[in-house]
Amino acid sequence: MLNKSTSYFLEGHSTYSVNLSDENASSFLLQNNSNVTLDLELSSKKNDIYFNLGQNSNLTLRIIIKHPIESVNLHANVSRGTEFNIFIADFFKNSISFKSIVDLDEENASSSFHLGVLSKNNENKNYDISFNHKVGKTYSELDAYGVSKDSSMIKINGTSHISKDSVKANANQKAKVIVFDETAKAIANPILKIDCNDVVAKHACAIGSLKDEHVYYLLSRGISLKEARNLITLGYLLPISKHFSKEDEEMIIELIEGEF
Amino acid sequence: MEKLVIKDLCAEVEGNQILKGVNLTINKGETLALLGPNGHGKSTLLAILMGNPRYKVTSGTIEYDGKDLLSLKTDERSKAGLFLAFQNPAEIPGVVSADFFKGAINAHRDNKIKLFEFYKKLEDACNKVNLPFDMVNRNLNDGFSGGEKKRNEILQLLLLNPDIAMLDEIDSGLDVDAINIVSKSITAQKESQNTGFLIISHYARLFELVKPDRAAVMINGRIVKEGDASLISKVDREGYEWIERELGVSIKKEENDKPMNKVSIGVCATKEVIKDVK
Repeated sequence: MLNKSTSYFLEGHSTYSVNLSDENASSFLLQNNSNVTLDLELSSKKNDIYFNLGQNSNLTLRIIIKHPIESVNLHANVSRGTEFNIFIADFFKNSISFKSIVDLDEENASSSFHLGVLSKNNENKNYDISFNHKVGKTYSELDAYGVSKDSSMIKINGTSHISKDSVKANANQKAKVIVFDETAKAIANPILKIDCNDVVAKHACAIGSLKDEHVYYLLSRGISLKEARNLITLGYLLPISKHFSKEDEEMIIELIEGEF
Repeated sequence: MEKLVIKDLCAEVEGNQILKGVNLTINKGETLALLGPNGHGKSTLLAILMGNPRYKVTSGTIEYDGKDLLSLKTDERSKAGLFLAFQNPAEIPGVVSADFFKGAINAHRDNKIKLFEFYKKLEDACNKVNLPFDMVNRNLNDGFSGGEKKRNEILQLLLLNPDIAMLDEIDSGLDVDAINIVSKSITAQKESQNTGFLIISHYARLFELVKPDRAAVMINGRIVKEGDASLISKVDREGYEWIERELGVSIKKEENDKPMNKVSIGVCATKEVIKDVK
């Protein structure tokens, strides 16, 4: 239950831009048969955001972290035939705790969470991403790429819970983090809780430094060691930018390139 | 003019001595075929010339343009005019081919290449190796077929225009048409830019097309025979056994030919092996 909240109604085939600047909870209600892109700017320290998505709709949520926020708690309920795709670009110099819970409540509900995250100095970036498959024929996907520099830490927990009787549910998780410096850290925990047979559940996690083989290949073409490391690292982070508007894409590229 | 002079080169990888005194010279504008059975050090030699950190040179010298090549880092060797087309090019997810090509070209120039010039150069090179231009927007070698990877190596050769190009089994995995395309690019590069080539291949087909000036045979980590292109035909007809007879060299078998250890752990064959021991 939300004690004090601001509600937003999303409908039709539109792109919305909303700035959440106070610590009140916010709820977004997506009407049935809508196709909406929501660009959300978070500028308060704590953010509680609730989404209720109607049937046969599509919501694309895009967030660029560009203010010193401490926490985000996102909770969504997705109805029949609706798709909820979340894109997060986090290259901002601040620690953060980001928790997302998406409940796939009805058949043919689907959701994906795409993350590009960079941590540096002593930052601590925690992403806790959960999908609950409440019924069968639901789909979820976590696709996270990170680069941890200096003495910073990235932690990505991905949880996919497939409930009893959720036949033909399909859960996918992929997390890849490059640990750029010796003192940097990264943790990726793929958690699959499966209480049903006849489902598809996949996870792939990779944490490590740059592959020597990749660096050597670039060096053999005259590219310096510094440039080679940067090129490979940018390759991890830049793909998230393609999901944003042209203007935001350029801003993201500038943000990333400024760090290398 | 002698471009690359290798003298008494010995090298090891993870404590295993692979090269045991290699002597070889490559001149600018000539094509040298490097022959030899599998596992005798040909690819190791190319990797060492390019500066692969996995390999350790234990003695000997390599002069490149009169300078000590071993004192140069890998990227410096490339900028000095050396190029290696890899047998198994690395797949690098996330790195867009066009960005990589531009970075590589700029590394070889004082001023950054202009965008129009870059795309024109890239388009020309793609046409020459018969790769679709939209390939440049794909991640580097990621998801490429074996043939696409090999043609992508030649494409980079054309873009970087080296003085000496080393091709490590560039023809493996290529169909007849692709071999023709690759060999045409090699020949054109040699004629127009006077590039020297050091080519490893197990198949006479490529050598028939690129027509090497000289050939050398590497056995047991040494160059045991050098000669003109007729050496290639002889190896193609008769294999390497005649070298054993003629030179009294015993050809070491590949590591893979060693008998299996008596006790293996974690494989299905374990049960059978233990039976044998009993």
